[in-house]
Amino acid sequence: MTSQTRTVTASPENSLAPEMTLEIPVSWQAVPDAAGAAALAVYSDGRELSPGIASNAVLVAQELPDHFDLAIWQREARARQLASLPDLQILDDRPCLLGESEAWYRASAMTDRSGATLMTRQWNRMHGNQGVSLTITTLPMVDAQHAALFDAIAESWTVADQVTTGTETHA
Amino acid sequence: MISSDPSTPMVMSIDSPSTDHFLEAMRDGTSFDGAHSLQAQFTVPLQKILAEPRGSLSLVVSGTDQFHTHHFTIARAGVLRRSTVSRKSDELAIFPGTVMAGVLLRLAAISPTEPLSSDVRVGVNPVLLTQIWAQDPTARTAAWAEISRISASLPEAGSIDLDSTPPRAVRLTRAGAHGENRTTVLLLRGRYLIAEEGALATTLVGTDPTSVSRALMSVLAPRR
Repeated sequence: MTSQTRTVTASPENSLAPEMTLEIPVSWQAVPDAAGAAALAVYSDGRELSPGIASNAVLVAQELPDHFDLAIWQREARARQLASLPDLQILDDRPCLLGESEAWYRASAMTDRSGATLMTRQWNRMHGNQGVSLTITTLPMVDAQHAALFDAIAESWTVADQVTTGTETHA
Repeated sequence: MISSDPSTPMVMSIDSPSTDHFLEAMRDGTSFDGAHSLQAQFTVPLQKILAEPRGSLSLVVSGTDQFHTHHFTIARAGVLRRSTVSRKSDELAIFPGTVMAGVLLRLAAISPTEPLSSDVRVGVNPVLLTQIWAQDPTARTAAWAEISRISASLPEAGSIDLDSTPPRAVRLTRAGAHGENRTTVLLLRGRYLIAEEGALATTLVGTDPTSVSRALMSVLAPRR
């Protein structure tokens, strides 16, 4: 596993979502087809960390109702996840600081359809009426073995102050 | 006596005194009273697991109101879980190794709570910490009473409800050719602490649920 990283920028086109950057290992690649209406960008390790399953980082933005704040949004999101994912075990769920920004962190474990238990770690922030999320998914053992790497990716996540328009770029 | 529910064929119950004899009979391919009621999808992988075990794990959960032991035999064919349900009954279950992490996190019942700063460090007598795993309920009760007294020094939780959460502890051990790999985690006054175990002293260090899950998963991972 290389320690070299590169900065990638997700600049959503035709959207009010803010521009976001992440610092990821140079070997991680964008997955263009995976970024649809919901996901602004998906980056994958191509199973470098574990041959069992790809570890990935996903950036998502969504417009929230006017009365939502971070706590209300996350309470709704948690209830929706628990209702739709019966096997979900929420491990951690709390407000936190990401840099100097208020954020909400949630970690959960779930067994997917292929019969593998996955670890999902998600950081959520408010940007005006946009809710933006970084989600990292991997195997629980890989999460433990590469904890510093995943924590560094989360800490590198920036959200631009100004809403911009443009195309997704990968520096 | 064996009992199983056809709707959950990968799980069975057995009277505790018979468990070792049953597993020996399954491993050796000899008969055992009542085994005919079990389905092949349970007995075939069970025989393979017992014939070629590749490792084992044990998870013990202790608290003022609970004490459960779970032993896992790991093999290419799957994992056998042997859980002590009560003093009279064991539960045996088989599942794929790919869900081992999920099973452990469920049984350890890791759940959201306030993080406790790693600056919070509480020294405890190593002997005291071994007593919470004692089979003797009287010894466990005495140990928990002492640990509860010690935990009075912890900072107050932000939530009063959290502060009154019953204490409990989880110990995950992996037996290997080069000795044991072990993690011990305590939930005291609603917050997690990880035990840093030494020969002469043990220190409980404040932590959060994510670090707890990672500590447990580190025991699962092969040593590098």
